[in-house]
Amino acid sequence: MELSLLIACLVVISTVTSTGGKSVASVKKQQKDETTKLVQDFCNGDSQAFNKLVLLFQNRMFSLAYNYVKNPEEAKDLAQDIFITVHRALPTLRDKTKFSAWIYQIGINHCRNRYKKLQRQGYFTSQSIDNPDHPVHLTGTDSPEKELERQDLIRVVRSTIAEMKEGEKEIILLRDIQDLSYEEISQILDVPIGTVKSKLNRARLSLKNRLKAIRPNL
Amino acid sequence: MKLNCKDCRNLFTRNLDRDIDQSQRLFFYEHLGGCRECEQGWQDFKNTVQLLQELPSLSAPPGFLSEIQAKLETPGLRQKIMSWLSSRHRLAYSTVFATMAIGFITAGLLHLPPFGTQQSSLENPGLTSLAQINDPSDSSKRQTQLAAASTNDKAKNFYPGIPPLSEYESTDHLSGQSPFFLVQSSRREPEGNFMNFVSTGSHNRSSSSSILPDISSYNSQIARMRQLEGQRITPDITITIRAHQQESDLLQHLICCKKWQSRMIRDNILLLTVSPDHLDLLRQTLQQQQTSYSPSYASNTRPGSPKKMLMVAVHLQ
Repeated sequence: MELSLLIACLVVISTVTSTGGKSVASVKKQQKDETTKLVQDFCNGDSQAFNKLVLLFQNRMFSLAYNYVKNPEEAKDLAQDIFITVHRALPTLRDKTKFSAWIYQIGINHCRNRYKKLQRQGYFTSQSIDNPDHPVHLTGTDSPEKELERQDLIRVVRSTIAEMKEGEKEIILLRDIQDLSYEEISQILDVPIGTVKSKLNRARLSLKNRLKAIRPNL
Repeated sequence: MKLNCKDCRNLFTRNLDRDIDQSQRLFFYEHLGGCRECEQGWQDFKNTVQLLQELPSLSAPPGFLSEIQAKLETPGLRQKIMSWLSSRHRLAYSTVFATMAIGFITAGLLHLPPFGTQQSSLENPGLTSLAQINDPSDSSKRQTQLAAASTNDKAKNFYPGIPPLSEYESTDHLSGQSPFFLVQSSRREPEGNFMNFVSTGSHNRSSSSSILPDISSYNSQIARMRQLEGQRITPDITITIRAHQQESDLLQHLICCKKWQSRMIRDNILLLTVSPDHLDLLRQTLQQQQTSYSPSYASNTRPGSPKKMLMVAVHLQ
């Protein structure tokens, strides 16, 4: 009796899991199809399609920009510049199904250029990891002390990412922050999947060592 | 197969992604069990990745889309330029650019002959006598060469702070068809032995260092030089001499000296074209007389550039 119950439970769990996996994949596919349709609509002259594309990708682009340059104003301006470039260059996109990888490529290029510009202006040399210039306000259910500690840790992590090397930073942002697949990262950075994996491992080790140096009790 | 620490660290991400086979995983955990450092590294690695994945997602600030639309409606500088060039002014601009390009090329071809100005002057090293200069068949060619030489010297002789000096190479002299063309030598001669410009015809190029006056052609020179009276001349230096008694001797000496070229402008004004190297000699010659210099600094300094011929007016009072 107990054995049959156990088997039944396992069957139910496996069914739910497989259904959930399928639903995540189908949601991703549905999003991709929707994006492709919006791109085609924009290329056919529908200006509202571009607004919908912006709404679909604005948080991702802003997050990418913010984690790259670590300044909300610069990140907003940077993300808007990305969309302006997209608006201008979208009709030239050959494969409309690869819009996601394409917009990330534009985003990464814009971030690199803006980061170098800010670096030349000495912006990052005047910034310190321990200086909470731009705190990220979060709402949590923990106690104020824990919430404060958590916010501080998040700030340290973001600052450490922003100070990493260009290649390491980009691969961590794309994989761990943007949650993109290895295939997508391979397309965006134009490197083989094996290289993506090895670079990601090195970047994570580097981040771990940097965080460990700042916060020994990681 | 046992793993070393480096191999173990290289497997961190693959193990986290469950991207390694069973045997590799066994070796991986076997190494972690025996290596405290790698075990600690693995724990920290997992914590780091977890921390990254738990970072709160960021949202674009309010008004993000409307600001993009505002930026899109305001054309950028590049778009303005491109739209301007691509519309009604395109033909006009291309015409202007083409005209300018043709103009520059033509000007370059006219002002830059295949052989430089110095070579042009070297082509006629024998221009030392009045007879050669007066040859009408060679006149136009020589004028072109001298005009080019004058332009070149003007560019070289720019010295800020020095008062502007007249230039005897001016094309005004050429347009007046004066027989006294002065051609600066293209190479410097040893000091004291040579005339380094074309003579007036009274003497030939000579290696003599003597400054004794040659009075054989004195009267004919005076007569010829007087023809130049009335020509507008601005000398670089004016030297006024009070020499009542030895006036004729001094005048004769100055006219016949082979170190400079001379011409009589009036009865009491003698115009000398003197090389800067011989200016000191002229000063020494006139040292015995009561002299005054205009400009005053010319009494002890050398005005103008070292290569420029000086026009000195000697005024006998």
